[in-house]
Amino acid sequence: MKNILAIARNTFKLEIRDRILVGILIFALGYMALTLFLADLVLKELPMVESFGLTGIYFFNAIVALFLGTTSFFKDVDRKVVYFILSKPVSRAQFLLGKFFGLCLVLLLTSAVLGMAYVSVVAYEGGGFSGLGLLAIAMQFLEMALFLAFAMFVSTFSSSLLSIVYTSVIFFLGHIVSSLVIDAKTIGLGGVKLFFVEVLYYIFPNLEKFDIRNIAVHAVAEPFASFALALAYAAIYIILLLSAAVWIFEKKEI
Amino acid sequence: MRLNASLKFFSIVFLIAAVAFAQFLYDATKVSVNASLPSLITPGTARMLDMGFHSTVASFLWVSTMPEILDLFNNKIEYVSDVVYLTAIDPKLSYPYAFSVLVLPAIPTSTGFMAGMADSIAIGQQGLQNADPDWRIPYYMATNYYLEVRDMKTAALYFDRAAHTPGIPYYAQRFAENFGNEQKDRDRTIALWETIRDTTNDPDTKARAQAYIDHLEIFNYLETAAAQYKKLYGMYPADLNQLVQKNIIPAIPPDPFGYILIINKDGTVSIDLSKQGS
Repeated sequence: MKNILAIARNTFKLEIRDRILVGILIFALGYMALTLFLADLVLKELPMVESFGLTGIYFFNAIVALFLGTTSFFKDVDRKVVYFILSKPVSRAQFLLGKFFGLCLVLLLTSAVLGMAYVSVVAYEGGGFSGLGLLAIAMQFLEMALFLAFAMFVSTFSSSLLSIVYTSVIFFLGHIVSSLVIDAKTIGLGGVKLFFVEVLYYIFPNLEKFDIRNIAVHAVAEPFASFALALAYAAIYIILLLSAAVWIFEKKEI
Repeated sequence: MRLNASLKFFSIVFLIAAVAFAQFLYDATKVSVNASLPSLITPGTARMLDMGFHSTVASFLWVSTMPEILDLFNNKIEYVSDVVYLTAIDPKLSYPYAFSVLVLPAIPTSTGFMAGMADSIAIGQQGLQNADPDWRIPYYMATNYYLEVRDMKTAALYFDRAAHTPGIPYYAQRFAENFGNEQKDRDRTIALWETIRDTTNDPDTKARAQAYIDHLEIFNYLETAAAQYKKLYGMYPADLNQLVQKNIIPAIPPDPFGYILIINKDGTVSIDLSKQGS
């Protein structure tokens, strides 16, 4: 545990100094400032202002997660840092878990910074404190943690560029797979084709359950159980992906 | 080739100016394209591809749709279909409905006034059915029915709906609940609410109609008492309590909507605008 925490701390320190990350964060904050202008365009309609803000946080965090998940591990291999660390009494599992938690901390930091900007914008536009908005950001963070775990998993067996491609595809698929099943049933798809779509639905990460942005914007009541189940789903999927990543990494010659 | 610092600076400024000029030339030569929303993608497909960002996509579409209202003056009717499109992507987004209800009847089109009114009513009814509760939708519909269609009964029903929508500002609620309250309109408004009370099967609507009747009849009751007071004392009372003190009425009846009533110098009763009712 001590090793994992030490690696997580170092990963966090190293990544927050990364100029690319700082650049993304500055752009994200710039976008949040731009929502003030967008608010004027939509005559300060609060649901629209909130949805612009939440969307910005989501996309910039997705970029951060994609960037960190697909490059951090490679950088350590490329710069031979991994040899140095693994020559110490540190297992490969501890190394990967430490990296994951460190990167999660970076995501938590960016979520917190952008979340504060969002709350400020909403309050400035007369919306008061947006508790549901913060809950939506927390759920987005869960999604990003899962996304990060997937990016780290593919990083263990493919190149940096391919990791970006695979992770982006999963990101897109994870959001449309729910609609695909509904549409497949609506158009009367059956047999093997429907089975294939349903396999996609159950096996691939289903990211729609973390999307409570529309609920937050329209203040719709959502049962607590669905949040708890989404949390459990994320935890199980992250454990699965990290276990697979550790297994592959342990078999890998470096 | 090495350039000195000032030459580098001027080169950059020159290049920036060149970029801006190129953009200017591009804009000047660009052929105008109809900016209507993509009709090839159905709202259902758009909802599938937007990765859950229904509200954001609809909001961005609204930013581009709202200015199209001006095209209606030139009989370009994309606005209505675009509102239908974006509200199909996020049916809960209330502002496009409210805006359309308010603005559409005011724009003359080649298809006539009633076409705009029909679109306004259709969009408003969709909004009442699907959108987040937003008092502006029934309130604007009520004003349309009152001012444009001259249908007092439907206007009263929509004003009532607006008055009972959460989030309505007090001033709008006060206006909505006192619709048709002026002395010259009052008897007609009472008759209108009596019709609604006697024809509806919905117990809530019946109870609300009765509350409006009671509310309006209090005004008649107090004004009649004030007239009696004037007969006896030669002038109207300065305060409604004087009607009780002089035994003209046993008590001032409580208003079903909680408004505080006052008597004016001409003997008419009105709501005390300086105090917020309960």
